[in-house]
Amino acid sequence: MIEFKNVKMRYKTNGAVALDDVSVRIDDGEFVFIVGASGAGKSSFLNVIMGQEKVDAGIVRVGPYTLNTIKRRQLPYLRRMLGIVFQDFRLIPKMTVYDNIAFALRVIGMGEKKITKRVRYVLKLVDLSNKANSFPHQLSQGERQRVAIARALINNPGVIIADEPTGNLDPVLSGEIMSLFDKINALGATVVVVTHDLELVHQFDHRIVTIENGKILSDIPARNAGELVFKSEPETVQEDVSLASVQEEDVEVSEEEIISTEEEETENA
Amino acid sequence: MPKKEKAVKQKDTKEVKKQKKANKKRGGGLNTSYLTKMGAHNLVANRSMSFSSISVLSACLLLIGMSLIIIMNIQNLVQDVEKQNVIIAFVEDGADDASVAKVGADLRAIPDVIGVEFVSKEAGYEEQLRDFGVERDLFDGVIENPLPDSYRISVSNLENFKSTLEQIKAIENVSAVRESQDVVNQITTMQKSITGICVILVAVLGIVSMFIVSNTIKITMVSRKIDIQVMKSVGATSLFICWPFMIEGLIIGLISGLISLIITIAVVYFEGGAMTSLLEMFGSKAIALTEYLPVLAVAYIVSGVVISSVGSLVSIRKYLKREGSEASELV
Repeated sequence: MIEFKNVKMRYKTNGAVALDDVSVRIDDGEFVFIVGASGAGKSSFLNVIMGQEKVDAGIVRVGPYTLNTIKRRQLPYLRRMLGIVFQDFRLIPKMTVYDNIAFALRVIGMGEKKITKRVRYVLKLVDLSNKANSFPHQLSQGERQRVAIARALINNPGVIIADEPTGNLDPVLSGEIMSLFDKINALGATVVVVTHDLELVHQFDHRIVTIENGKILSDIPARNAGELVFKSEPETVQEDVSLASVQEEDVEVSEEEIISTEEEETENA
Repeated sequence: MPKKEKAVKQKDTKEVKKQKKANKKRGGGLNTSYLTKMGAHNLVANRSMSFSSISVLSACLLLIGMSLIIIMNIQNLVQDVEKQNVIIAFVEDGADDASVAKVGADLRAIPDVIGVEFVSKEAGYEEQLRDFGVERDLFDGVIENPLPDSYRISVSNLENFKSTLEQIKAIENVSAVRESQDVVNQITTMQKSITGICVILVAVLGIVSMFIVSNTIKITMVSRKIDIQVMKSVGATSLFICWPFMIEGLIIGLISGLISLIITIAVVYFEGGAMTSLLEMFGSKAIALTEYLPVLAVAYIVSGVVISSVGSLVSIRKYLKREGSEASELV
């Protein structure tokens, strides 16, 4: 759950208003588009969620963390709950696709065996299994973005945040990437996509929050909330089938996770 | 209202703990072997920068080490001279036993006097003749023993030599004093200036090399800006981000320390003769390399590692403290 309550923020560089009395709540499992012209405050909105900027007034909550009072050493743990996808992909040029994705798990100290298993699963999910040993410069733009998404997904985060994920892509690729986000959302993750591409947004049926001059201009809920509408062609359906098979393969990992969650709950009870 | 806030906070910490626990279960601690490998890898990947760091640091360490060896040798020389430096105070001829004993007591009371040895008229004469290589019998009855009773005094702290000497001269019944003040003066002046120069040299070189290593690491960090941003965005802790850079600094320090040590041994082994002959002029000798080799090795490696680790820490800290837009301003 992400919650903004009467949030106000000014840019540190020039003192201009970045967010002005923003209140919004994004529940678990939602898919939300944040739209607005550049400079409207979209990036500030994301930066606040990622704990990169602090707000001047109001309350921001992300999952269990209240970001107004979060300590610096807690920030890494906040970010582990979030999968972040950048417009410029931010892949490490000297690392292969596999290592770029595995990197996010090494950061949190996971063992190599588990890493291999998870990376394979996620690569299948984004349909890049055959590119595991390629370097970023050998990939197309769309493939690079899929690697970036795979990296965001790898840690099983509850929330995927994408900042203009289609900014560098042509319309066809943009549609593909969005369908991928749809798929991820269908698997249970909350997805927040920031974009200025209204045409793309209207191809999908999701909640749309419009920001202008730091204020929320409109907040339109999805028409068919809870129902997924794939606008893409039968190809996607096929992908879904392959996804199902991948999930079966990954059953072991999922079970482990379920068990560990149960253990925690009993411990906490 | 404040009560409510408090309640929210408490809930937060519990949830946060839960989250942390989940994180731990998922991953575990720090994958140190991977990080160490990454640091070593970085060192090789940025070999030209690593090479320049190592050369500069080695050169600095070498100069520091040489300065230390020179300081140690001079210290040793001064100690030798102190040992040799005996002031002889002659007691007024014809003074009675009590007066002679009182001179001894007065001498012992002077703070910098560390040893007082009584040499009787007879013993002094014997010794003098022996030094000349002459049999006593030859002079018996010809010349009367010309020497008075005397005291051999050794002093510590050559810096105060002059005042110590004045105090000795002021003692009642001391007729004359024999000393080698010129040599003492020369040596203490030399010791002071050389030690001063070396200390300044060591300090300046230490700072310079720290600065250079810090800059090297900073440059490698700029080139790895994306890596660091990615690390942060996927939830790397500060320790995780620091580790490879620290390892890099550590290896640079270690290699530089070893290189300096090898060069020092070679220099002392092949060119140490010059220093030995210089020291022999003052009746001292160079300290054997084996005597200080272990200390030198430890000093080199420790200072190399400390200098380069501190250097890398300084540049990493700046990066870690910044978030978001601030971080990109740096570059």
